[in-house]
Amino acid sequence: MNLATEILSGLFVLMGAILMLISAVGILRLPDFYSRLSAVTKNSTIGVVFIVAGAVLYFNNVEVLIKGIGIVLFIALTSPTSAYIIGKAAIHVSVPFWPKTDKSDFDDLEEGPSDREKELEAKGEHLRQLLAQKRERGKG
Amino acid sequence: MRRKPFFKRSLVRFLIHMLLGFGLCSLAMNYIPFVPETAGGALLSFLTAFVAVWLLSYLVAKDYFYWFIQLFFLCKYFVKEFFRSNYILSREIMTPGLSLTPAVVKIPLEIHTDYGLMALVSISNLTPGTLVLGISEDRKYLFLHTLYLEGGSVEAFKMGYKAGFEKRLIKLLA
Repeated sequence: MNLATEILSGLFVLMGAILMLISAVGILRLPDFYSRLSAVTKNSTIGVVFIVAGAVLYFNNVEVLIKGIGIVLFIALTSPTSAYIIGKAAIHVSVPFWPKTDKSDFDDLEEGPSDREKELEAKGEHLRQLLAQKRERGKG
Repeated sequence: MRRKPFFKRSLVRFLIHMLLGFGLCSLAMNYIPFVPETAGGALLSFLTAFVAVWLLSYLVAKDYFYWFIQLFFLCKYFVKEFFRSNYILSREIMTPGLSLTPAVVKIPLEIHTDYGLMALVSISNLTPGTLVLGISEDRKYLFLHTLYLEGGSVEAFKMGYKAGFEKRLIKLLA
């Protein structure tokens, strides 16, 4: 282990920590829920990438390299997916947008029941009618 | 035997490509004396094996050879955009005042398959200020929240977005 790699790996870890700090500050500074979600997704992902790169440089062997690649891969795969689900949930409960947001193109995503639900509803209605007719006949 | 669709066939070939790369890499680490047992040595030998297998694939499967070039361009563009987005957002947070121009954009989709949509949503959630809020019921539109309306208007932003990732993904999925 020479001094140069040590300093370089230290710089990488420091850089990653600073990026994570920036994303934490972003949660406080940005105006609304959606922009905060953007900040958390992007900057914390790149922070993890930098910190793992620093660790790989420090240990400098094959096992750590493979583990590091696995960590980065799975973080990069799961973080956008969770952001998508959180954003969708926010739309579902209609979290307000920042007033300056250009919403001209946005018609509400939840436009009543879907085709499948309507179909099921119609089927249920049909069954209920049949049941009612049967009861009528039973009485008569 | 029914042939699989081109995209799935290419994915299977990509997996074989990766495994061959790993195998050759570990062989090189064990039997070639001058390959160092460090992370850099492993990475370099893996890349060499990977490129060699890719070049050999020209003889076996020509369509995979060209597909891989498209994949490489997509990855390059993605890495570039990823770093750019982080730079922009960090600068926005650290400098005083907000210069955001957020908008919600409804983008007509040309990709309708499961894999394609997953790739598109993941990539857009990691690039400049965009966040996918949902996909319409019939998979025809994508609702995108963006922090910066690049190009000035909603229409210009749509054009830019479609010329970026979607064009490259369509080439992969075709």
